[in-house]
Amino acid sequence: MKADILIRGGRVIDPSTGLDTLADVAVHDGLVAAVGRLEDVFAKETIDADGMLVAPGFMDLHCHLREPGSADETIESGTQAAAAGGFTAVCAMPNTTPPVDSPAMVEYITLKARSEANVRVLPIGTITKNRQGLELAELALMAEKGAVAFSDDGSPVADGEMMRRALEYSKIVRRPIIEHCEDLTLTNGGEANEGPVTTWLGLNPIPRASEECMVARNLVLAIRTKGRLHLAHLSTGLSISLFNWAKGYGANISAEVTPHHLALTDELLAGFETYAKVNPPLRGEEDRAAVALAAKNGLVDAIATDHAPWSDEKKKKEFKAASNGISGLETAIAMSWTALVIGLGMEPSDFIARFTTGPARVLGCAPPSLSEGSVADITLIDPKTVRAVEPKDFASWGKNSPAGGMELSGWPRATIIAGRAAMLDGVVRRWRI
Amino acid sequence: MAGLPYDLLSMEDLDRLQIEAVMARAAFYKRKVFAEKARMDVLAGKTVSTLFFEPSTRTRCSFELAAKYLGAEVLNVEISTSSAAKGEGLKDTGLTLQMMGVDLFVIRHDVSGAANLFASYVEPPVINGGDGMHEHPTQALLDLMRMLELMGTVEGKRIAIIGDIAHSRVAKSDCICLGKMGASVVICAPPTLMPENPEVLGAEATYDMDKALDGADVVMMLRLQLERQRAGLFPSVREYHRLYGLTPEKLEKARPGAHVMHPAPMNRGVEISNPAADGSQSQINQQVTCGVAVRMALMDMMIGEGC
Ligand SMILES: [Zn+2]
Repeated sequence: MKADILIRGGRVIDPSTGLDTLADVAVHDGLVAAVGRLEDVFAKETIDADGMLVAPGFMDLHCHLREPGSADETIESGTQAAAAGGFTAVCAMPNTTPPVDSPAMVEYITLKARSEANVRVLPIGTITKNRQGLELAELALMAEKGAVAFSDDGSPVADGEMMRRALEYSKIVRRPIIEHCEDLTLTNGGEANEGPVTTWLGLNPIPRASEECMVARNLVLAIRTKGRLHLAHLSTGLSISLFNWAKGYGANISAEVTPHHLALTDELLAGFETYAKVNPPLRGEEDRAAVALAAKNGLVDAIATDHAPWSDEKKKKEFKAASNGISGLETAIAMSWTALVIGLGMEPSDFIARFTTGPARVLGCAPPSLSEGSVADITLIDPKTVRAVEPKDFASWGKNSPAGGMELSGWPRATIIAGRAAMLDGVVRRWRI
Repeated sequence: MAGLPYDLLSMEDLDRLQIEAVMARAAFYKRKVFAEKARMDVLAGKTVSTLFFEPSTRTRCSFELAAKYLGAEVLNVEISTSSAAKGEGLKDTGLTLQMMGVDLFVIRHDVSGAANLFASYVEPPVINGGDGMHEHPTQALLDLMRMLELMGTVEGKRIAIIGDIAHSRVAKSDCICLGKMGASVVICAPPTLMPENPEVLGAEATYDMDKALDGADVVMMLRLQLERQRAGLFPSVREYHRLYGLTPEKLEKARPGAHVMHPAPMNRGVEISNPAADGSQSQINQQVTCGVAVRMALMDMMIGEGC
């Protein structure tokens, strides 16, 4: 048989079918042509996957590509970062300038991505017009243009009635309302997680209740409206418990956690390290462990990067004035692998599920799959090689990673989209979807 | 002689030996300047710049006189944070002054971590003159100096620090400094003005002022920013004074002859009553003199000839 790419001898794991076996994967004409012990394949390109994991393409539910309106990242640079980081599809948050709050803006992102993106871009629209929390945006018309979800991420929907209406409306657009849960009256100008670190550094504290109170409110609204709610970046043990509690009421809910909340703690803020300043803030060890456990045992559906690139102009300044966010696309898989598979003994198939079937379930779309005839979106992971994080080598324009120098394993080795390599052995290949 | 770190940004930067060396040098300068009326030239030809992003005439004067008594040139720069573009103001000002030949910076800023950030930008040594809610190491050293003058040692002494602990850089630096010197520190505040994890300060924590005062050798009162009331952290000045203000009656609960201190400026009638502030046990004026001596010692040890 003929193949564009032959992936030879890897451990093929496909959570969508439960497959976990040593096999070759042949890719041709953008589709998975065959999986198994393949002989007599005439391949244009062969990838030696001995010792590698071969998985369906990883999806990121939550990243900030910053376009339009920012000099900190573009759709082009952000999706190159995604390819470098092993992601075949990313959901782009709409808190841009102007925000993606209309069908025309959704279309703009789609068109821009078609000409400049290196991976699939799934646009998210805002919940409210101009992200102001005052009037609903045109959710159904944005959905028609391809918006996969709705979120005012970066700002919470403060008004309870507005949130209730959004959840009601989600039932006809059949897309999740993704909520950044934060009670700004409790955050009250806070800069970091309330605890020993804020006391020691003299930083304004953000109490954990700032997230948890809003998580509780939104879960109650989801229970009462039967709307479709997805909770972004849960970061405390109590938030996870509340989420689990609401499932008991049959709520139509899902949740994600980030690699940094499951792997890192606020101790990284020592010396006023603004690269570790993020919202929700890095928490203490107890919360980190709870978040990691929820990711491991599947209590939460997905791991999402919350990739938030910033130039040093916005980061290297007084802690109080520095922007929140971590450039995370290129460390997400390794940081999570190291914390969960190495640290907690998580099964590789469960790990892959958090980046494939999990996000697909959240979005209500067909899961990425390696079954024959599926679109050939594939992520290869090298589970062995230990390497230090080197932010200056990021494809992202944002070098703002607090993980610089950390020794991680589980690095992405190749990103294949529709049968073509967008990244191979760390080298991002320029191509158009 | 124990050398000092390149910058003094936090009391964490100094170990006990270094603190003792600063105390010895400060005692020497206090005698020279205030008893013998001597003026020195150990910093002749050097320029010290005080850079105040948060106004404080008292602290600026103390640093300025300390530098002048040692023969240095002094350049005072006051910048209102509202006019300074965040971040860039700090960096540009620092680099400009550095290129003009400043040998030592003193920085005061209303944002925590600003002194650390500033020190990362400029070449010359930096003394933190107070940054946000983070630290105020020279205040801790002058407080210690006065305590040593009065008691000879703080080893095993009980020091009560009472007031707005949560927002106080003085309390933090005092706790670190006194802890290193073997004192037993108790911090006292209402729950709304107590930090979340007071144990990291190495002190016993209580909400009960009587408990804090019990057996105290030194009672350190902290200034209460009145805007905390508007932020909902306490109901009224009247109630705060009743619960946490130092009066002669309250002072009787401390060890007889206990010393009363305050980093100043005081809110009289709020955290401290007039009789307590002006009584025979008050050390508040003497603290000011120690401030000049301690700052002289630090400047000499950081950029003087012998350093
Ligand atoms: Zn968010």
